Amino acid sequence: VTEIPSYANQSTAAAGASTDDFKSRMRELWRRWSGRILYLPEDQFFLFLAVLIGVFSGLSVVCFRIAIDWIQLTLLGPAPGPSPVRILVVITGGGLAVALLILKVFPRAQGSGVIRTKTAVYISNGYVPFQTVIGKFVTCAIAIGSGQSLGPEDPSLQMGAGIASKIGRSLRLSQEKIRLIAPVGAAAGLAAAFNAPISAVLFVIEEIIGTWSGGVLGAIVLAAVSSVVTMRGFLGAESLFRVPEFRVARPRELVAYAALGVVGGLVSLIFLKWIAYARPRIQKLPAWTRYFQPAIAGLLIGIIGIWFPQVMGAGYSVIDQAMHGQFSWKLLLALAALKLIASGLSFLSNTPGGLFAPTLFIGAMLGGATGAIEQHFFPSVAGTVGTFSLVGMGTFFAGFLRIPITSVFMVIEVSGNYTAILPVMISTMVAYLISRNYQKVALFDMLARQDGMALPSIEEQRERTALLVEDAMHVDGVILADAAESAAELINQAKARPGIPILIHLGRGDWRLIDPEELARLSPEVLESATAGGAKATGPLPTLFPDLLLDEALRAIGDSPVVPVVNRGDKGHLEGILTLSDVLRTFRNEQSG
Amino acid sequence: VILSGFFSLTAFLSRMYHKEIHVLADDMFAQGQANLKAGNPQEAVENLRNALKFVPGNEKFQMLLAQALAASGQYREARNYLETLLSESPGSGDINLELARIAAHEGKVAEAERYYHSAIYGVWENDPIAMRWMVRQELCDFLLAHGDLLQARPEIMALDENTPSNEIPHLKIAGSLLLRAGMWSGALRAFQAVLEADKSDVEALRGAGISAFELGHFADSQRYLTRLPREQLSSPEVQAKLSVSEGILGADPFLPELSTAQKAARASRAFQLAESNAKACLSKFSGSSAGSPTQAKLQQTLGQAQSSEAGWSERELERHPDRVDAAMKVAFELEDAASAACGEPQGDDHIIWLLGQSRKEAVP
Repeated sequence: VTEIPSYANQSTAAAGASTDDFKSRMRELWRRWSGRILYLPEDQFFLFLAVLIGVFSGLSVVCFRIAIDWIQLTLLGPAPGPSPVRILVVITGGGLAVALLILKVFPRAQGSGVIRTKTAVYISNGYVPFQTVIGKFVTCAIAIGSGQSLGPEDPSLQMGAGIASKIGRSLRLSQEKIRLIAPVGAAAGLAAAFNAPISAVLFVIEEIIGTWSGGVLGAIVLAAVSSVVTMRGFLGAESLFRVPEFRVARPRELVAYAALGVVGGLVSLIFLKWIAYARPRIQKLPAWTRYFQPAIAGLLIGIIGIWFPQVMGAGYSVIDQAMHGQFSWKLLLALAALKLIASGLSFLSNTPGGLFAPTLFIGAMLGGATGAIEQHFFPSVAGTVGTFSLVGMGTFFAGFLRIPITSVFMVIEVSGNYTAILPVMISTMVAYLISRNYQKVALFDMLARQDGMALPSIEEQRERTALLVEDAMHVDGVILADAAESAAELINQAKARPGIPILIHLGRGDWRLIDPEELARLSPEVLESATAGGAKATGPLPTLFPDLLLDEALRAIGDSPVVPVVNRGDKGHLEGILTLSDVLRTFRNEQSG
Repeated sequence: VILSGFFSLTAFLSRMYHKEIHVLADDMFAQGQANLKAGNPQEAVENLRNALKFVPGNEKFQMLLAQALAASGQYREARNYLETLLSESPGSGDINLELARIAAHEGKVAEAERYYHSAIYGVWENDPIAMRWMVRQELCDFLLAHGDLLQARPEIMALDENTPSNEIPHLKIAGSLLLRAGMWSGALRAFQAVLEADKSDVEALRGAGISAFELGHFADSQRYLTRLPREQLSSPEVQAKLSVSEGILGADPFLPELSTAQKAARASRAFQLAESNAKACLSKFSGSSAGSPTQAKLQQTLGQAQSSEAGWSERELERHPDRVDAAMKVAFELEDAASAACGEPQGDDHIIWLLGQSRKEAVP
């Protein structure tokens, strides 16, 4: 590039020649660099691809958000409180249009984006049809834009996964990478939708893949960051919500937030139970009713919206107002209840769209109302109604979606405010524990099971007690030989306890197994002077530690009939022994409960 | 190619979208501004909330919304927006001023003072000197309205010092604040500066007249107050001050333009008035057995005055004009002692007493 000639002092002919030269040089440069990128080792190429996925997802989310706003402005108008007739016509008509589109044109756009992404990872080898991306974009933009009580985050997540899957398939990545690429795209989509990269990364780990695997974590982080950077380039870098900073002056003030956790946990439980109860019943209705379900839900939401237009759409501006203490506690409570009903109706009617934004909405209103009531009765409670709204968002999010860590970080990221961390942590954990205690199956697992899919439950994996070597090992049933011990004595011990293995430690963690029969074959003269250390022994044996996972132990045992379990601080100190049958028995016992 | 195409499409859509959104938001903001100016704060709140739906982070919109909320009496709601804005720009003069006004409306004196001070020392984008002056004036008004003279006086002094002598409206405001705070000489100076620019300024004449009166400059006070238009003269305060000033000018024997005979006559009359007032006061206590220290003082002062009474007749004073001062001194002492024992004197005695007070202040 530095050798591009100056055009200023040259004739047109010379300029034309230089242009050709420049083009050929650029072509060569592109060939060389694209070759380098394409022939990178797949792991490194995957990281490069993650950035590309992030950029594509970020752009898609920008277009999606613009589409929703544009549809809303066109259909409902810019003025607050459109006429009741307009509200009812738009939302019902939108419902009919969406139903037709998802049933006739984009059948794959139905359902939760999170479950579709998990399906791609665990069932369809990372395959997310590109038609889903277009379907989600169109149907969700119409649904949310016409006033259905749903949010754009879950569709954004699925669009990201779809884009990633398409890119992975186009570049013919290995099966392993294609399976991993959908969560990478999902993180990018969610990060751009929320303007919250950390929460998106945590969500994908906490809900979709369930592990902190280094191979995929780097790609997820890169995709999330690049999508957020792209999105911010177009829509601005501001946090979703703005609340003033506050300080918890006295530890006892945290009790107020724990109380909010209880309220959030109980209400999230009501929402979960309602969906768990009503969804299978609505699914059992005759197939033709599906054409009208979104419209009927829309009509009901529209009726609510005539008096409470705040419940229509994603409702971010309403959350912002709640955080600025613009509503009385009665209105906050009414909005929480009505939004819960409206979002439930939208979701149960199979209208495409996400529950993330409604969850934040309900949480913010519930938090604000709880805060206002608490402040009325206990004026010394610190924090404004806005702070309670902020904390309430995370609380309800954790209780309903059962992703506690994501919830905490999400609150910090969407508000750009770290000062609420302690109240959020306490409130979130209380709500999560209440929800988990009274609703055993988490929302996404429940939805997958209702749809007949056996997707792995990350929460169950997280909660499952890991079996350790110490659960299976036994401390008796072994003859421990000292190297200086007489072989004759050892034979006597072996005879007294037939079938018991004899282990000997030869120093520096070198454990071996002595065969009693080999000892018995020694002549009496030799036996007289022989020691255990001089006996023929098999080994060195693999060693294990008591805190190792039993799955890992299974790999280590190999052909050894017995494996010594030793102390991590002193490998010569025997803690117990483990055999293959011990491992199998423990697994069997665990399975039988 | 796909990426660059997608990027271009997004950029195009985004530009169109932002254009549309900003037009809508600006339109609603303008409506909000107009409604607020027209005194319809509730309508302004609706307009501005709607504007914020399109550009949620716009600080200008949030600020006006807070002002509209405060104007419609929704102080808590306004405060929430302002506190959010303040956490982002803690040094903003505008935001601190709005918070100060809300605290003032809510009667939170200490909080209002804190915000007013933050506003005075805060950052102002346009004309910071004028804005700081205006905020300090508001603070002074607020403190005076709450009767907090101790806090108000240094603020008023600072305001006075920062008022340029050619800014007539500012000088009038400073003068009236000084007047309200009882800082007479400062008030007189400020109003005199105004009168230099406009001799017939009613507010300045009234202020200068009152402050001159309070300083004991009765001639000046009379001069300023008599220049007031007729409708101003009918005010009870002005009328009272003017009549007292005229009374003092009619009784004062120290006026340089008086002849010796006139001085003697005035001093002799003052002495007689004070003496009879003292006697009348003492007669009120004639029945009581144990006298109070103030009665004893009055008794003693009257005794001393009566012992030299012969020397302070009009004829004696005319013959010995150097005794006028001593005669007036005794008269003032008698009025002082009588006022301590029987309360502030009335009528002509009040004039003699006031003259004595003003002489005390003038000659320490």
